[in-house]
Parts: sequence; C-alpha cells; structure tokens
Amino acid sequence: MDLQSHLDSCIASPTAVNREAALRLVRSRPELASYFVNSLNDAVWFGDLDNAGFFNPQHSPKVKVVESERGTMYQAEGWPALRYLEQIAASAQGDQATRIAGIVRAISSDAQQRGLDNWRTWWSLATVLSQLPLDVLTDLDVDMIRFWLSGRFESNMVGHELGAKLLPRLLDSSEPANWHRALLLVDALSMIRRTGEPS
Amino acid sequence: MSDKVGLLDSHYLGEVLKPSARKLGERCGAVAVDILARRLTEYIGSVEDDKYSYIWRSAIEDHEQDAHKEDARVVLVDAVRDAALGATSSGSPAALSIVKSLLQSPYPTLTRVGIYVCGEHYGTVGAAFWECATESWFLEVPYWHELYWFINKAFSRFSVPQRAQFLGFVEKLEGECSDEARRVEWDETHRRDLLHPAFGLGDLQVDEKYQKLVERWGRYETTQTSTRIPLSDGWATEAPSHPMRSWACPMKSWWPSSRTLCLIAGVGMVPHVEGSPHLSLQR
Repeated sequence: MDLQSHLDSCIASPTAVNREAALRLVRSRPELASYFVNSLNDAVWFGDLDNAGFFNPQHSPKVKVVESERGTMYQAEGWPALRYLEQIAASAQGDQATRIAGIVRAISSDAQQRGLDNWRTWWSLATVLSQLPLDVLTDLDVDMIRFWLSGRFESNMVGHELGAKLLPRLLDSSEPANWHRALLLVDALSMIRRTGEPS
Repeated sequence: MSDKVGLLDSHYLGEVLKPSARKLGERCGAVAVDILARRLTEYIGSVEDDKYSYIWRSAIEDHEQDAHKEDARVVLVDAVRDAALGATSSGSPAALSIVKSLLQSPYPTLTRVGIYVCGEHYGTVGAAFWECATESWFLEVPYWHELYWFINKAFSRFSVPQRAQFLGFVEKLEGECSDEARRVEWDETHRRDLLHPAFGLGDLQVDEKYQKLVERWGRYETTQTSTRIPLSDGWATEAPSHPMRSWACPMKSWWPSSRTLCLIAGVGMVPHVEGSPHLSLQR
C-alpha cells in the first residue's frame, strides 16, 4: 500500500522528477505496472511510457483458451497501456497523435503476423483510432479495421465504436478525403461474414 | 430473416448506419447509394429472391408493421433510402442519375426505394419517375404501397405531360383475369384505386373519372370486391369523402393479406376471399 501511495502522489503531481521516480519504481516492481497505468489519464505521461516500452507490441496479450465442463472458453485479457491510450487519444495533437496512430498500426500489424485475435485489443484500438485527429488517418487504416472486424470472435463492439464515433466525425469533416474514408468504413462495417466463418 | 450473417449483428449495423446514412448520401452521392444498395442485394440474394420483399418490408418509410426490424435487409433498406434522400435533396444531373439507377434496378426493393424517393423529393428528382415508369409499377402489388403514396404526395405537382402520362397508364392498364366475365370489373376497380390517391387534390377531371368508377362499382361494402387498398386486417372499405383525412391513417397500417401474397406469388388464382373476383395479374 505504501508503494501504491507513492505512485499515487507521483501521479497527482506529474513533474519530470516524479514521473521518473514512478517509472523507476514500476521497473523494479513489475507487479505495480497494472495499477500504475490504470491510474493514469494525463497525456503528460505519454512520452515516458512510450520510451519505457509500455506500448511495445510484444506485450500484446493472446486470447487464453480455457477448457471447462461447459466446453472450451476463450478469455481475452486486457492491456492497461491501451486503456491509457483510450484516455488520452481525444486530446492528442500533432506529433503525439501521429505517434499514437503509429502505435495502433504496429500493434495491429504484429497481431496479424502472430495470429493474435484478441477482441479486447481490437476494441481498445478502435476506441483510440476513433478519437484521434482525422489528419493522422489514412485509407490503409480501414484495411486494418477490416482485419479487426473479421476475427473469429464477435466484433459488434469494435464495429459500434468505429461506426458511432469515427464515422460521424469523418462525415462532419470538410475534407473530401475523409468522406471517402467514411465510405470505406461503411463498406467494412456492412461486410457479410463468409460462409463457414465462425462468429 | 436473411440467412446471411454480417460481421456486425443487424442491431449494431442499424445503430451505426441509421444516424449517418443520410449524411453519407449528401457527402458521397451516387457512390454511397451504390455501396449500400450492393450490400443490400448481397443480403437479399438473387432478383428472384426479391419477389416478396413486402413480406419483410411492408413500406419503404419507417413503418410500425415492419416485421423484421432486426433483419440486416431492413436495416440496409433504411440506409439506402436515407442515403438516396441525402444524395437527392438538391437537384442535379447526378441526383437524377441516382434515382434512375434505383428505379431501373432489377430488384423490386430498390425500385420501391426509388419510387419513394421520387415522392419525397418530387421537385428535384420527380422527373426520373416518368422517364423510368413501367406498366408493372401500376399493376403489381410489390409497388402498390409506394406508388399509392407517390401519387398522393406528388399529383398536385405533376406537369401537364406527367399528368397525361399518369392517366395514360391508368387508362391502358389491363390485368390478366382468369375469370373472363369479371375482367372489366377488375380493371375498372383497379383504375378506381389508382385514381383514389389523386382524388380531392383539385383536379376536377380526375375527380370525375374517379366518381364515375365509384358509381359504377360502388363501395367495398356493397360490392364485396376488393379495392386492393390494403389494410392491416384485410382490405379497405371504399374511400370516404376526403381521402387524406380518414384514409391516410389506415393506409399507413398496410400489411399484405393472404390474397395479396397469392397475387404476388403468381399463383394465377387468388385464394377465395368472400365476394372477391378470381383474378391474376400479368405484367
């Protein structure tokens, strides 16, 4: 509890010295990492967390397969660092927004290569992407979204996040490029699952 | 329900498309309508599979009697409709082209959307209706609901040539009647029903034609022949004195009766409804 209190005081007053102290503590006591990141909601921490590797795709959690009397169950673990990105994405601007978009793409690409299909990760990434400034998005991001939606697990929350938050923003924009992305997004959201594909 | 499964459940698809489809049409025009219409036809299947769209979609407008609100097809009909309304809110050659594309679709559902849009935006795209209109729209039951309301909403804005074209369709229509003895009855009562939505809108000649047919074939209660104006619980009685006041409400509760279903199914003979003529229709 003392250590958590120390983290709390660093978070309440996020000076450079306190941020460094908090990260040093978490490096030495990894069991505090989840508590620490879950307590953050200020963008001032972003650079420190990024430099410390908190958003490195190697941390991207797999879906756990649990055999039980009720059959095979799938448990998708959360990733606190993504929850933090969800918290700050709406306020991100400039280089920070560009970097966050890069993190989203790196995590998605890594998951695709490693065959990770964690719907909680997709949901978080969708939440982050939906709030970023539109000028950091590209048409290729919609291809990434198609991958999130076409996983073997239900994708309703992922789709709803993108359709309810990102789509109206794209359409409210005055940039025709964003209208085109809105079309691509609608095309992705309305896709039919191929026959035999699990849902 | 459609046997196709979307990446999003239809409920969530509706939550996503409902608030944005109109703006998508305003922003992206024909491309937006095309994408949504194509997706709708993927869900429907073949043109043949679209013959009975009125079963799962009783009216193109939002309707309390739509039986499959959670069906992706219903969600996509809303989206195509709203995108088309958004894309045609101002007149342009592109807007006309969008509506013509819908009206000329081999899928009756898309044609119905086109007719609906023409009625809603008659000032901007109504001309497309007359460029594309076919006799089948005036004869076949799948188009009836949209056609009725199109006439009712737009008749007072028909140009002289459009009015003449409308009356031409009405005068020339001929259903294929398996009971030859009742052919005239069927054709004339159908004409009466097509004139009904234009009755009382200020065209004395149309009113007179309509009244003559009413005088000849009478009211539903007395003749027991169907007016083919469908109601939720069967078939309507003949029109009261002012259609828009007391007729419009029951019309909005349209639901096809078993008789309608058989007409559409091309069974040839309608099932026996007390007093109704045995008829079938042809294009």
